[in-house]
Amino acid sequence: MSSIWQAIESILIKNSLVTAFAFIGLVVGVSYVISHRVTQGRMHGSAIAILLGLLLAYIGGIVTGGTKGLADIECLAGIGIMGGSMLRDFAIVATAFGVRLDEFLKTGLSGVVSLLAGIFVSFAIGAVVAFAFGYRDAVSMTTIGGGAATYIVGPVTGTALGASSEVIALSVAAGLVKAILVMTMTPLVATWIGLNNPRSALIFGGLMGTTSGVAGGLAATDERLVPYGAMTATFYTGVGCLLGPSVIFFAIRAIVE
Amino acid sequence: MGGAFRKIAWQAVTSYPCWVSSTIIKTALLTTGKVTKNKVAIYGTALLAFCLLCGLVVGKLIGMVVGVDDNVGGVGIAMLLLVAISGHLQATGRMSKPTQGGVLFWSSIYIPIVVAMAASQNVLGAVSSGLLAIVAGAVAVVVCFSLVPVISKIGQTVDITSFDETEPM
Repeated sequence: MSSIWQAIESILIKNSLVTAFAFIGLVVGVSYVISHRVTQGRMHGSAIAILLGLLLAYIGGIVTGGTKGLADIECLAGIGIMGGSMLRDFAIVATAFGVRLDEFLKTGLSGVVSLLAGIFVSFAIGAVVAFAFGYRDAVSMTTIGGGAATYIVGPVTGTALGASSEVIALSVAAGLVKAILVMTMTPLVATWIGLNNPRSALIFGGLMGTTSGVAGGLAATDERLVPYGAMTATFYTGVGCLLGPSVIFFAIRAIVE
Repeated sequence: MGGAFRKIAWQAVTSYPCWVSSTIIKTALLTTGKVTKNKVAIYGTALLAFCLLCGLVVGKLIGMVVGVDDNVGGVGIAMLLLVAISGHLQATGRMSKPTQGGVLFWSSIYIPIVVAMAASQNVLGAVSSGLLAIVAGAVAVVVCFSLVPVISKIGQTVDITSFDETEPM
């Protein structure tokens, strides 16, 4: 019996990306059934699929003790390729197909405003929370502030400023919490924050900034909003890495020291 | 400088698999209108790949110019490029149905890819990271959510003002 499973497993491992397509297809299928039968269509199938994905990632983390969720299980490693930045970016660009250029350019200014507001506000909140928890030096505050921006801005800022590895780990965790909350909460708050048109989606992407969070959150809300939110969000991490260790660090240092 | 540029371009190309980069040539032929008689889906996918690679190279160069070891807006630039090129091709009637299909497939596979992305997140790390990380992440999300309607409003006021200024008296 176990030799049969070994034979199957070796095929699954060898064709990991194909395995991932089949597995994710199954997850999406189950999610749509839950959406129709259990929630009577009140909760969107893709929102359930993303929640289910996160739950499976949690289980994968417990089973393997790794950091890549379900992709750490050997025969499901293809999920890491399928959900990795290469195919994700490829698909995000494809969602822009059919959008008119002037729709992007019309809201360009609001996009820039939201981008800067999102970065400064996230850094400020992270720094204040760090201060409240007893991390009162400018380097640690800025690094954790970067984590409240995205889980890439945090460690990049921390490394540039020479923060301790404990603080850098905290900043990554803060960014992960943010990404997961944006993925899961966006469909729930969408009506309250007026997230139902290209303009607000563009602003949303700039304010949130976490590409994975925005990509997941908007997909679960309304697929048509994805290109607008993704457009501004893809500038966020780069600009955050630029401003974090420079302007924002100087500002925080001037305030606390 | 030329050497540095080539190095960056090469890095961007080689960090993606060969099947993506090798299709660039076909896209170049497509956009010059030499292969329009062949209607196949790969032209659409190749166009998509070409746009993403160009965007990533430009994003990387912007990152180098401002001194950040990260891609600044590469995907966003790629989106603008795709919108501009596909819009031009459609306007001139050079975007056949199968070619469009080569792009639309990837757009339609977007949600499953996001599900796979969710399934490969370090959720355990986030959940067990301690109170500081959870509070910092959660407060940032709540405040930024609440700023969405605020900034939407600011922008609209500006739009209305600029509209009034241009209106003839």
